[in-house]
Amino acid sequence: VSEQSGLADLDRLLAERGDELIRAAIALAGNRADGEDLLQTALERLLRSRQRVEFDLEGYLRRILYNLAADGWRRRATGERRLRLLPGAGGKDGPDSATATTTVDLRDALVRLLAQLPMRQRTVIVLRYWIQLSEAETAAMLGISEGAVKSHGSRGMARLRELAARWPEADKRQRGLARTVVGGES
Amino acid sequence: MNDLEDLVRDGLDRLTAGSQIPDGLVGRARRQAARPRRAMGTVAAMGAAVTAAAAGAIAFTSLASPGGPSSDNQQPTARLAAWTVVKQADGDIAVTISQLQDPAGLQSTLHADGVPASVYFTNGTRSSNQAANPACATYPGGGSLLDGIITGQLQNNNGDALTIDPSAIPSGLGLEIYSLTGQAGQFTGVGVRAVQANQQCTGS
Repeated sequence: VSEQSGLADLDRLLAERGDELIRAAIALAGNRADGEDLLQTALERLLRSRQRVEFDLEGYLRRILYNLAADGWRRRATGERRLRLLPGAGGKDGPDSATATTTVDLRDALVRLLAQLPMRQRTVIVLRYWIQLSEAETAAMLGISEGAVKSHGSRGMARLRELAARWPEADKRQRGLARTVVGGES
Repeated sequence: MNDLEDLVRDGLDRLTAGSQIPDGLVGRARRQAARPRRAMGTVAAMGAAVTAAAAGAIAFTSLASPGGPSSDNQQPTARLAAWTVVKQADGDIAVTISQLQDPAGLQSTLHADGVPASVYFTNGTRSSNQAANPACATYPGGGSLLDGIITGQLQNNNGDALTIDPSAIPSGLGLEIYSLTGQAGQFTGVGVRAVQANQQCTGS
């Protein structure tokens, strides 16, 4: 396999599967900017690899991506740190009642909390419950035992479950202790 | 499959929905991969120097679409609010911004909570490393100071809320909150940087 044909294979893969890969990277990293950096880092790692990948290029790239995330990959020091803004109500799931608003906010809160979990817990949860790999597949991807997958997954989900169990009481308590000012209402 | 897993999945679906691989990403990866490893270390060191010189701009990304209805102005998650300021029990100030509206109101609210700030929302083509308000000058060494002032999720590059510790703001330092725009002039996010607090910039 020549270098040129390898690059052509990579171009083809990214043309066909690039959007799915960037979504996986964003889910793992917690936001778009870091997801882009994570995928770029994975691609760099792939391109630097002297190993010729004749089969399952996507699987090889995903393995790099997942392990970078699990190992606490660090975003480049660019002088800018990024975060998402408060999501709006656009889309079919936009809240149209108090209940819907609470549900949407809980989902957002869970994603925020997910981003604060230790990287291995977060990665396992994303792989297991969003990418929907089995425990065995997750273990193989990350090079850890199935027991470790179970452990990381259960600990992470326990943290998320604590938040969900308190919801929306935690929000009410916060409102009771805090003063809130909102502005620019339209 | 339980409800919590469904909620996590829904949340991640929302986070990633519509995302497409950026045009330049593969090219950047190729250029980086083509660099000798030793050279990359030099580049990283240079990057750190540039970071310090840039006084630590912080960027929010991806302005969401206008919020949905909410009848309760006291809810921190009020969907019609362009921005929300919550003074927490520990004194920290949590700020969320969803629309570029009422910058003066946001600035005065932050002032009332002990945060000297300049809020400046425009649709110009200014790059993220230029001051938004021409009256605001970069605070020397502000990049490292911001790490102590901006707490919470922002330090991990994640999350929605900008959490400010007013007690960590040294005398003479202010926060400039400004809109970021892309090459085509479209809104891409909101940035926060350390500036020199004075009457012209932060109003105090």
